[in-house]
Amino acid sequence: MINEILIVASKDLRVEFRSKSTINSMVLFAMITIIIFSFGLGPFPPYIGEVGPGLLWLVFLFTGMLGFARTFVHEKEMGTFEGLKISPLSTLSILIGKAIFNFTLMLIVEILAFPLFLVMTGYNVKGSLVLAFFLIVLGTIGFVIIGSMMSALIINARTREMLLPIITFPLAVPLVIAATLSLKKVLADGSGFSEVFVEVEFMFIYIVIMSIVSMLTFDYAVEE
Amino acid sequence: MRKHNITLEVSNLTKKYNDFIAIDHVNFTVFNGEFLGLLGPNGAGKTTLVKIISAAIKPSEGIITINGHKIHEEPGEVKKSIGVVSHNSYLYEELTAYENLEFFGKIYGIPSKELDEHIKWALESVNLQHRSHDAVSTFSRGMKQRLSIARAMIHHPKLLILDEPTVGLDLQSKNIFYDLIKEINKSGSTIFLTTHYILEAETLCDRIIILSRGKVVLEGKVTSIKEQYPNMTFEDIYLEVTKSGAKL
Ligand SMILES: Nc1ncnc2c1ncn2[C@@H]1O[C@H](COP(=O)(O)OP(=O)(O)OP(=O)(O)O)[C@@H](O)[C@H]1O
Ligand SMILES: [Mg+2]
Repeated sequence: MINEILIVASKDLRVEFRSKSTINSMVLFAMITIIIFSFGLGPFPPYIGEVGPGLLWLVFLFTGMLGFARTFVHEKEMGTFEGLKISPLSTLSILIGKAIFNFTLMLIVEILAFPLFLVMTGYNVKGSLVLAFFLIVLGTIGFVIIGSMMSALIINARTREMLLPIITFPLAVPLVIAATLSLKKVLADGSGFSEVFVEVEFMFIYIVIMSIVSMLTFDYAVEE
Repeated sequence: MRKHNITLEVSNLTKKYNDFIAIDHVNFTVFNGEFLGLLGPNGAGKTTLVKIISAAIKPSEGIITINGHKIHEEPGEVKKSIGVVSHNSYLYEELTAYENLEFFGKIYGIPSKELDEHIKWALESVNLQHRSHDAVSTFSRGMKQRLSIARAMIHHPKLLILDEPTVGLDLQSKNIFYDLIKEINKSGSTIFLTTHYILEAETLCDRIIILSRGKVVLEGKVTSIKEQYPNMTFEDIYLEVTKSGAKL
C-alpha cells in the first residue's frame, strides 16, 4: 500500500519535473501576488501583523487551485487515468499518491513564498518561525486532502477548472480560519505552541475527518 | 471441474448509457490458451465490452469472471492477471519508454529485481530497445502503439485484451505484431482481440464472436462458421450477420 502510494507520487513528480509547467505557474502566481500585495499596501503597513497571515493564506488557496485542478484533469485528458483505473492499484493509493504530489508542490511554493512575504511586507515577526511554518504545513496538509479529493470529483464535469474553487473553498473555511488565526498569534503576538494548541488540535481533527470522508467517497467519485 | 479451463466468463452482461443499451445481455466464454476474435461494426459495443472486462467501467448488469475470480469481488487479483491495449496508449508522454514500462511494471507488482529484465524483454519484443531512453512525446503513432503493447504484456498477463491494436501500424509493424501475439499466445496467454479487419480475425483467431448493436450475432470456430455458410466468403458472412443486428 505505502509502496503503491510512493510509486504514484514519484511518477507524478517525475512527470511534473520534466515539463515543470504546473510548478512554474504556481510559484510565479504566488510570487507575483505577494509582490502586488506588498506594493499595494505601501511600505511597512501598520496593520500587516493582523491581516498578513490571512493574505498569505489567500495566496496559498489560489495557488493550490492552480495546481490541484491539474492533478486528475491532466491524467484524464491524456487518457492515462483509465490506465490507472484498470491497474491493480487501489483507488486509495492513487488518491493518496496524488495528495502527496500536491503537497510537495505546495511545500515548494510555501518555502519560497513565506520568506518573500515576510521580507516584502517588512513583517515584524514576534514568535518562532519554525512554529509558524509548522502551522502552515499542517494547514496545507488539510487543504491538500480536500483539494485532491475535489479535483477527483470534478474530472467528469465539463467546467472542471472553474468548479474546483467553488466546491473546495467552502469546505476549507474552518481549516483556513484555524490556520490563519494560529499563524497570526505566532507571527504577530509571539504566541508559543501551547497558545495555539487548540487550533493545532482542530486542524488535526479536520485532517482526520476529511481523510476518512475522502477514502469513503473516492471510489464513487471516479466512477463512470 | 470444467471451470478450470476457463479464462474469461461473461455472463448476462448489459451496459446502459442512460437509456441507450450499448451491451445487451451478452454471454460467452473464453478458454485457457484460446485466441478469440471479437468482430463488429463501428458502435457495436466492442470497446465498451473491453472496458467492462478490463474493469475500467462497471456493467449495469451481469458478471465477469476471470480465472475463477469475479471482477467486482476481487478487482486487485483480476486486474493483475490481465493486460490491455486500448484506444488510449495509457503512456506518459513526458516520460521515456523505459520509465513508462518501469512504472507499469511496478504497479503490476513485478519484483524490482526482475523489473529491468522484464522491461528489456518487452522493449525488444516490440523492437523499441534502441529508443528506450527517449521521451514518448517524441514517438510516432505506431511506435506509441508498439510501446503500448509492451506495456500491456510487461507482467506476462494470463489474459491479453487487445482493442484494435493494429490501427495505425504499418505493414512491417503489423507483421511483427502478428508474430508477437501468436508467440505470446503459444506461451500460454489467452488472447482477446477486437478488430475491424475480417482477414486479421480469420487468420489469427481460433474462434470468433461477432457483435452487432450490443448483441452477439454469431459465434464459433472459423472453420465451422465457414462450413455453416458454404459458398460465402468470410466477409459476406460478416456483412450478412451484422446487417440487421438481430440474432440469427
Ligand atoms: N461514455 C459513453 N456515453 C454514452 N454512449 C457511449 C459511451 N461510450 C460508448 N457509447 C455508445 O455505445 C456504443 C458502443 O460504442 P463502442 O465504443 O463500444 O463501439 P465499438 O464497437 O468499439 O466501435 P468502434 O469500432 O468504432 O471502435 C456506441 O453507440 C456509442 O455511441
Ligand atoms: Mg472501439
